[in-house]
Amino acid sequence: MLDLWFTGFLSLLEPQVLLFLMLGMIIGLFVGVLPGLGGTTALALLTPVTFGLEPITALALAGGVMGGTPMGGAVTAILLNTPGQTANAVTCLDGYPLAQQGKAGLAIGAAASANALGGILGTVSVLVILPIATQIVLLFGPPEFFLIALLGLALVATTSRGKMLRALVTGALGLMIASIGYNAVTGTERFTMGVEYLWDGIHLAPALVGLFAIAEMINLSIKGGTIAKVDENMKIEGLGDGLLETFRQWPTVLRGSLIGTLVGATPGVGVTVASFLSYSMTVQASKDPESFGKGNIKGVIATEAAINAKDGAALIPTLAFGLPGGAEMAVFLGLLVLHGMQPGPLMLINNQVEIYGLIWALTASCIVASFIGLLLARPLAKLTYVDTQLLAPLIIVISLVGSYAIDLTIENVVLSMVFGLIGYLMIRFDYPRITLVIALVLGEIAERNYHQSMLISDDSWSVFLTRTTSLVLVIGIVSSFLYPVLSSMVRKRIRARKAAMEVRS
Amino acid sequence: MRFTRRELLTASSGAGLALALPRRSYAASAYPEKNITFIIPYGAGGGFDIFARAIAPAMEKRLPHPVNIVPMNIPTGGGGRAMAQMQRTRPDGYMIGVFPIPGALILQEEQDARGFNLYEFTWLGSIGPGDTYAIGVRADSPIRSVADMQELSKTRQVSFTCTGPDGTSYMASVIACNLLGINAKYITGYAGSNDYIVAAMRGDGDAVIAANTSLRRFQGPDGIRIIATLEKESTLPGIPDATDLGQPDLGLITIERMVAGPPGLPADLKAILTNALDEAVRDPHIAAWATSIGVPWAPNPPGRADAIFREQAAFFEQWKGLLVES
Repeated sequence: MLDLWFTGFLSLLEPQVLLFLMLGMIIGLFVGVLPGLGGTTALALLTPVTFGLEPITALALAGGVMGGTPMGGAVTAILLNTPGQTANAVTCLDGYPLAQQGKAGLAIGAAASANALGGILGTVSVLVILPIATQIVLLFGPPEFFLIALLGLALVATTSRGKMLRALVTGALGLMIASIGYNAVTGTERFTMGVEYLWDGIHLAPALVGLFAIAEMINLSIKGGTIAKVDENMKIEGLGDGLLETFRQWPTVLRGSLIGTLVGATPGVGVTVASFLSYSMTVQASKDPESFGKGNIKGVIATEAAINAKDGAALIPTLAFGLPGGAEMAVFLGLLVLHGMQPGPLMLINNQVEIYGLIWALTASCIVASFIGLLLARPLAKLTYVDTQLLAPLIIVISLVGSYAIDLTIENVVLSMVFGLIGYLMIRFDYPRITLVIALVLGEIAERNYHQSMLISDDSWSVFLTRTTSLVLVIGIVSSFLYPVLSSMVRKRIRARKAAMEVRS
Repeated sequence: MRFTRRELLTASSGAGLALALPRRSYAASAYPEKNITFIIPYGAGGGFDIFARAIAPAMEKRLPHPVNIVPMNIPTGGGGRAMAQMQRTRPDGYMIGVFPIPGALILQEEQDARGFNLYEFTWLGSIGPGDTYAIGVRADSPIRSVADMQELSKTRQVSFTCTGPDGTSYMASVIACNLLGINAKYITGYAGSNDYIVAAMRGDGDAVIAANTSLRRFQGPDGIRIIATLEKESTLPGIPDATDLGQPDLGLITIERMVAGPPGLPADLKAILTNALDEAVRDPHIAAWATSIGVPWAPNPPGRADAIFREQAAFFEQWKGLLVES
C-alpha cells in the first residue's frame, strides 16, 4: 500500500509531468476566477491537447486544473460577490461581507489555507478509504440521495436567521424553477413553452452568473462608490491573520473536510451540496449563529475546506464505477477513456500508480494554487476600492462572455440577464439568493430520486426506514431539526435559573 | 463613354456569372475550407462522446485539405435538439453528427414537434461495430438463469434498471422482456449505462439489460453476473445466447453509432466524408485504442451505411407500437 503511494508520488517527479501539472494549475486558477467558467470548461478545452501526452502527464494536467479552480472561484466570490464556480455561491455568504468591511485580505487568507488543508485532509481520507471505496459507493442509492437532498433543503432555514419566511419563499421559487425541463424518469417535458433551450431545465451556471454577478453589478452601479466602504488609502492586510485563523478553527476545517469527503464519495449530489451542508452545520454548531452572513470568517473556512476535500473523494465513484458526481468529473471521465483507462472496478486494481499519481497531483495543485492565491490577494483585493462605475461594465461584459462560453449558446446570455434582474430585485427587497440556488440544485435531485425510490419500493415509504444508511440519514435530519430547538430551550432554562439565583442573592 | 442602365446590369450579371462559375467548381475541389463541426447528442464523457472524440482526429487526416473536425456536445432533450439542428443545417458539409440507431428513432417518434426526420439524413457510416446486449444480475442474486427470471415473473414483476423511456437501454429491455415473456417493470431515470449497471449491483432492481461492452466491465464476484447474452452466437464461453434462449430475434437488438450529415448533402461531399470515416475506423491506432478499452473492433464494410440504417429502421418499425405505447 505505502509503496504504491510512494510510486504514485515518484511518477509525478518527471520534469514534463511537473510542467503540465503547474500549467494545469495556472489554467485552473485563471478559469476559476472567471464567473460561470470552471473546471468543466477548462478540462473540455484541454482534452484534445492531451492526445499526444503520456497518460500520467495528461492526468497531472487534469489534476492541476481540478486543484486550481476552487481557489480562483473563492477569490471572485469574496471580492465581487460572484461565485467563480457554483459551489462558491456559499463562499459569498460571509466572504463578501468581509470584503465590504475592508477585510478581503483576511477572507482570502483564510480561504487559501482552508483550501490547502481541505485538500490535504481530503487526500488523506481518500487514501484511507480507497480499499473499501466500492462498498461505500454501493451504500448510497436513490432513497439515500433523496434524503441527502431533503437534508439540504431542510437546512435552508438555518442559513437565513431572522429571514426564515423570505428564505422559504425563495426556496419554494427555486423548487418551482427546478421543475422546468425534461423529466428523465417519465420521459415527459414540463413548462418548456416550446423553447428547446429549456429542455434541460434552467442551466445552473448561466443562471448563477445572472443571480450573482449581474445582479451585484446592477446594484453597485445604482449605489455608486466602491465595494469596500472604508478609507481608500487603507492598507490591504490581514492575509497572515486569515491564514492562521484557519488553524485556530480546527473543528470547522475537520467538519468541512469530512462532509466534503462523504458527499464527494457518493455520486449524485454534487459539490454545491457539500459546501452548503458544511456551512449550515457550522452555523448550527456555532455559539453565535447570528454573526453568520455578516462576515464570520468561519463561514468562509467551512465552505472552502469542504469544496477541496470533495475533489479528491469525487474521484472514487468516477474511477471505481465510471459514475461522475458532476459535470467536471464527466469530462474527466472522457479524458481517462481517451488515454486507454477504462473506469470500472478493475481500474482500482489495474491503474493504481496512475490513480495515486493523480491524487498527489490534485493535492499538490491545490496547495500551490492556494499559495499563488495568497500572493495575488493584495493586488486583487484592490478591486474592492475601484469605483463601481468602472468596475461594473467590465465585470458585466466578462460575465456574459463567460456565460456564452460555457456551451457556446446565446440563450445562456439571455438567461443570465433574466436572472440578473431577478437577482437585483431580490437584493433590493432583501430576499436571500442562496436558498434559491440550493433549491434549484436540489429540486431535480430530490424529485428524480424520490420517483426512483417509489419505483423500487412499489410506492411504499418504508424504503426510507428499512435500509440502514437511510435510517441513519433520517435520524440525522430529525436531530438537525431538534438540536436548535432543544439547545435554545436548554439555554433559556439556564438563563432563567441564573436570573432566579441572582434575584435570590 | 456612357453606359445605359440595362447595359450596366447585363455586364455586371455577366461578370458575376463569370466569377461564380469557376468558383463553384473550385468550391467542390477546395472542400473543406474551414473546420467541420461534429455534433454529439450526449454530454461530454459518455460512450458516444468518447468514440466521436477518438474518431474525429483520425478522420481529419483523411480529408483532402487540413482542417479540424471539432466535436460539439448538444445533450439537450435526450439528444433531440442535436437532431433538430442537423435537420435544419445547410448541407454544405461543415456539420456532421453521430447518432444512436435505432434509439434515436424512438426519440423521433416521441419528439414529433421538433420536426427532424432521421430517414432524410445523409448517412455516412458507423463508428465501429454495432453493440449487442446482455442480461446481468447482482453476483449474489438468487436468479441464476433466464428460466429463473421467467419463473419469478409468474409471481411478481421482475424489475430492470435503465435510462428514461426514450433511451436505448429502455428500448432493449422492453423488447427483450417481451420476447422472453417476462412480466417486467422498469426503474427509469438513470443517467447512463454505468449508472443503471451500478444500480443493479446495488440492488435497485432485480436485473439489468445493457450493452455487452459496458456490462462485461462490471463482471466479478462483487459485481455483475451475466446470465445470458443477446448475441446470435455467444462470445462468452458457457453463457447462453439468443439461439439457446429460443429467440434468435434477440440478436437483432443492437445499437449502432451512426454518422450522418444533414438532408440533401451533395454527392461529392458525401463521398469525401464517407471515405474519411471508412478509412478512420480502419486506422490501426483506433483499432488498438478500441481493443484497449474492451471493444472488439470489427468495423462494418464500407458503403453499407444506408443499408444498416434501413435494417435498424425496419426492426424499430416492428416494435414501434409496443415501445411508444409503453
